[in-house]
Amino acid sequence: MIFHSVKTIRNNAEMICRLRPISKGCPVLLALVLTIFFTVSCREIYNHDAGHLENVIIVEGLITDRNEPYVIKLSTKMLIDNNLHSQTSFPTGISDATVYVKDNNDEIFLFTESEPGRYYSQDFFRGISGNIYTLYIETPDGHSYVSEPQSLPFPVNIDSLYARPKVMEILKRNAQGGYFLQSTEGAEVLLDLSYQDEQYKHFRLVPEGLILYNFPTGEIQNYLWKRINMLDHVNVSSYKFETTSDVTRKHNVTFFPRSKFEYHLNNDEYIYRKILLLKLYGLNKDSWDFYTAIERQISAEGKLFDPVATRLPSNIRCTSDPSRLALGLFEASSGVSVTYILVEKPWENFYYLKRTDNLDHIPPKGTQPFRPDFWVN
Amino acid sequence: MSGLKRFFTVILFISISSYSHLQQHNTSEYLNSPEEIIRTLEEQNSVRIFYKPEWIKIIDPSITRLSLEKAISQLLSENSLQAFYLHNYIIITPGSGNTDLLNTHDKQQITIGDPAELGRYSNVEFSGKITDGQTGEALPGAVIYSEILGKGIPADREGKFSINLPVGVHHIIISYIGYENTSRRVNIMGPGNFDFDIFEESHKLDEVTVRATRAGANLTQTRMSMIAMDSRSIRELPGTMGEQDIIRSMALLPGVQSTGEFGTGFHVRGGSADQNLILLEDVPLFNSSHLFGLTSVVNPDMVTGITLIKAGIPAKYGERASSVMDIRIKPENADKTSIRGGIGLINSRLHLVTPVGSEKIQLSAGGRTSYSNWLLGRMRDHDLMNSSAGFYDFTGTLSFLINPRNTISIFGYKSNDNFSFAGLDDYQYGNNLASMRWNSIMGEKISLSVSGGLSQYEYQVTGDKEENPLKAYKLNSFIDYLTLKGNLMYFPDPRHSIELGVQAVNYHIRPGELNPLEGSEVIKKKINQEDALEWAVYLSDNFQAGENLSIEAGLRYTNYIYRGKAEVFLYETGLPKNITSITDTLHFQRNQKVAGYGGLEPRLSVRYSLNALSSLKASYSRINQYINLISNTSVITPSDLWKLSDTYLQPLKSDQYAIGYFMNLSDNSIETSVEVYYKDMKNALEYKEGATILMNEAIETDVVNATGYNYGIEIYAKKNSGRLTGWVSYTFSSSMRRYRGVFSGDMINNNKYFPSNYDKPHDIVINTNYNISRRWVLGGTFTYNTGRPVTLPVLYFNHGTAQLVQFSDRNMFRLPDYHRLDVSITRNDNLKINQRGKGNWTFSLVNVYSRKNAYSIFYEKAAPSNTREGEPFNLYKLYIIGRVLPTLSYNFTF
Repeated sequence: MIFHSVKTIRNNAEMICRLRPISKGCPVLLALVLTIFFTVSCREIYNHDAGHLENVIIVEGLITDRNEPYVIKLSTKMLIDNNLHSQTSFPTGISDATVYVKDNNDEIFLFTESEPGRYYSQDFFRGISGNIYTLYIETPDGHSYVSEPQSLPFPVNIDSLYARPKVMEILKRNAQGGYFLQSTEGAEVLLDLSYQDEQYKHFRLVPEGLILYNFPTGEIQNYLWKRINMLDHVNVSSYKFETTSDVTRKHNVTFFPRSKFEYHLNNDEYIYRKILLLKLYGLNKDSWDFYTAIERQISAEGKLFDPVATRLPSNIRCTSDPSRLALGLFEASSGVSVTYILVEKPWENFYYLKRTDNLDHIPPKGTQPFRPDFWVN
Repeated sequence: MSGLKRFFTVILFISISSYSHLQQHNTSEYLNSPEEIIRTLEEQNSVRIFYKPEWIKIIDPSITRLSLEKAISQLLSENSLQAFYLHNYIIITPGSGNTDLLNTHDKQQITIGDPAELGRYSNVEFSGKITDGQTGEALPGAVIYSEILGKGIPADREGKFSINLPVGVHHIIISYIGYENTSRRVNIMGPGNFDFDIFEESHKLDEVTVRATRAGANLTQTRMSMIAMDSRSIRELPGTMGEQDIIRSMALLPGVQSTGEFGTGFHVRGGSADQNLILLEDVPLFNSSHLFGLTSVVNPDMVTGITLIKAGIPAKYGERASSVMDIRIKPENADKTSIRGGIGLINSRLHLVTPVGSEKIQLSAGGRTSYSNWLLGRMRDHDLMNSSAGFYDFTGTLSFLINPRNTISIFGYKSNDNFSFAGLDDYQYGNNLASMRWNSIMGEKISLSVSGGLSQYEYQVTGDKEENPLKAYKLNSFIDYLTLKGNLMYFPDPRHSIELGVQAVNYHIRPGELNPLEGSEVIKKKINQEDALEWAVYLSDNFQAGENLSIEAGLRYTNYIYRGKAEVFLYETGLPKNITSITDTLHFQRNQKVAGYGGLEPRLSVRYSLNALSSLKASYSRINQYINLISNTSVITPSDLWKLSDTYLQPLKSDQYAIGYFMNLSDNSIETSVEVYYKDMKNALEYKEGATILMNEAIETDVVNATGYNYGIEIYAKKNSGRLTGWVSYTFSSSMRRYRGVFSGDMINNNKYFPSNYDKPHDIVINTNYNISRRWVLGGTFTYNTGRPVTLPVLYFNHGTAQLVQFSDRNMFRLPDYHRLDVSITRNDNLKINQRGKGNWTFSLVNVYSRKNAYSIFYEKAAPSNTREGEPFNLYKLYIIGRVLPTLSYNFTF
């Protein structure tokens, strides 16, 4: 995930306002006077005994109206104990659970475990917009969990997706874990959409980059590609009240740096095409609450001012023992997948997007000595 | 109301400038002949002066600006004359034997009243004022005592006294701890006034004293939980980084707590900082800190008195639920210009006190400015060079003594803070205050005070202007507070006073206006302004009910109207309040009533004297608070939102009960007390999980009305005199909140009680001063308190590509305990009583044993590593002063 550290470009003015006054730069300033005079204020790792929270289940599940396998992930928590090398830093999958989804017609769809903690739907199961789905889990320790009923929204349609030149300050980390800013030229991808349905105004985006590149070895041209996660944690529709408008304008989707080195290519490799694979999910209220809470929480990271602690909502609960903690989300969202080629004319400082066939099926990476079918023009 | 605001502002500045002008055209400059000058002296002082004009060869017209005593002394010394004082007659004769006669503190006789009226009265009212002869400052609590009658009274807050004495010659003694006792023979013939100057005993080490009020006042005053300090006591407060900080110093008193090295304001008995009414010359301060709490916005040099009341708050005060801090910066009665100042590490300050034209018009003006910007520009760091952080404040008061019974004072204040880091977001905030007050003594038993004032607080942030011009914005918020007060005091007898008053407050808040900067695509947005009117009427009766019992009973009625123009969202019943449950919007026209609250606020304070050295006190008070600060941090930041009570957010209601036992030892030189309190709170604001504060059009969806209680015991011992002075205090307290949410998303900690942000059960303060010698004073302050409650992450987990944390229940954990020792040593330059210039150097060590007290705990991802999956979170402790911090400052007066 090469853009993990890209500074989040806030699409929404409200969000800017909410974040800025208590964001990192400000508290640094608070200590400024003392810092510059005496260099006495500082921070140090705080050893915190968080206690021993047992019996916590983490659920990450998604069903859509798309023709794809759905996955329900079950895992245990990781403890914050500052012991970074301990086993508690690794999530552990919960195996041998019984997982199924029931719809509002009382039809049951079983999920089967293919790898530890990952439960996949059967081929015939497809979500239908307007239907209501409930997740049921029975863990090997005999406890039962159930989600709140989730209505699967109708798809959200994109009005316009476009690119424009942008110089982005990318926040990067050095080997010591310190931050530094680097100016990077590239193309910013933005989204406009209008809402057809009053009920479903929320969406989230999962952008991926598909980089097609060549690596000549002698006279042979190698055709290589790789998919890159371009999601900076979460990309969700605007906070409250922005949605009272029926139009979203200039919602930031992602940023394509111009330089090939930002994609970890070497000198001998050159980029043939940069392609955007975009999934657009229409969210119901529970899912939107969850993702906006994620965004709030991520934006609070590193704040020195004791911001409001954002506890993430969960639509899962334990029915056999209500005191047991269940975290995560069972999400029922409509999904739209689109593919766009980024056409670059950097010498004219001009970029645009050209829609093409869906390439969502392309494997994560590969190489061929001949031109693949999806080697788009 | 806006007209009134403009009036105050214009009056303030016109007055200051016009009287500066007047100063240069003093009437005394037009007096030429000795006869004119002597006649002026006679008229000014109601005396007859007998002399032969040819004896007076040298006479300075400016002596008419001096007190009679000083004027005659100067006249005699310049002309080798002597004088005799007989009743209201001054007889001047050649000779030098008695040139100092009128300046001798003993054996001189003052005649009060008109000799022609001798025999008309048997008892008369003798009044006047007691001031510091060096600085002209009033000395509240100084005692005037008739030795013959064995009767004495203390001077009031303004140093004024009024004592009923039988006609005849009295031996009057004026005493004030730390000052030379002054005895005068006073021949009382009729009602009259006389002002006494007394002088500091700076050369007598065994009587150096820190005393906030007169000896034994803590036992005899009806009110409890009250600290009153004059300017001299304030100067004895422990300093922070070279200067006194009156607001932060208050956090050293029992029941008062600060947030730490940073953090605006203070917390009183478990209340939030917005529950403290900080009045600066009758108008409230909305942000009392510079640079987020590094220092407070009040220039300590200018403060002439400060009163903090934690319980049994008198009926004349309202508005805020936890405490009242009444700060007075009225001009001192100076007969000459004096300048005071200080040079410190963070800022420098200057304060001018001068009569303007005559002693009847007094100007006091001062300012402070920081110089961190200058230093930042010289740092060899790109980010710091492009940063700025600074503040300034200006305070001015002008007092007109129209006649001995009528005074008008005008006050103005402006502060500004600005900072930005590395050229990114710019932050600015500031207070503007102005007030005008008319004090009138309408009769021997009635006095009236009428005042009007305004307080404005403005906050602005400019963001992303260079980082992301397309998203660049400017966010403004603004508070406008206007008040009018009238207070009538009636004294049926010396042991009985009745106070009656009325107050009106107009609130106008613009919670947020978001505007794009040039070239920005940010959508312009404005949150609806808020307007409300609060008015109050009150009656208070303070009387002695028997030999040992005194009672102050009061009743205040407040009425609050939240008015349009406004929009009120209606929510579907049976659903939690959020954006999706809005069913309709009500629109209210300008000035149309939207919501109204009100109620009676009883106040009661009772004191029962057990004996001469101990008393029992009890108090009860109810206060409704109609304006609250909504903060999403545990410390106040400039961007926090002030919010008026409205349809959904009801006024905070506080009921406080307190009892106390007070005992003095060693001839009142040691004061001790034990106080116990219980405070019940309704409609305290708490935020929901992940609340959005700024630019939220429906704040009621994120904020709830919680209930709570605070209780505690405060133990306090203070030594006022001797080489060693200071106090020790211990407080045990608890502050809890609860919100009973109906819906799961609304619940906080499953509807159970949880500690408030201000719950610090144990609090210890030891503050001492030790006078090593005539010049050297050693000071030390040790503070300890339990760490404040915090909400911390307890586990983390993955969701997609995001790593997330799960927080504990609200305020389940605590910061590590806070403790710190500061020491200082002060060297006084000049100890001569009448030396005009005085100064002192103070060297202090802050945080002597380098304790890294946690200011906050925050989390951040650890550095990437190949040995683990993802980037687990680490918790970090931020400390502000992590090691010993030396400071040096110089303070001066001339």
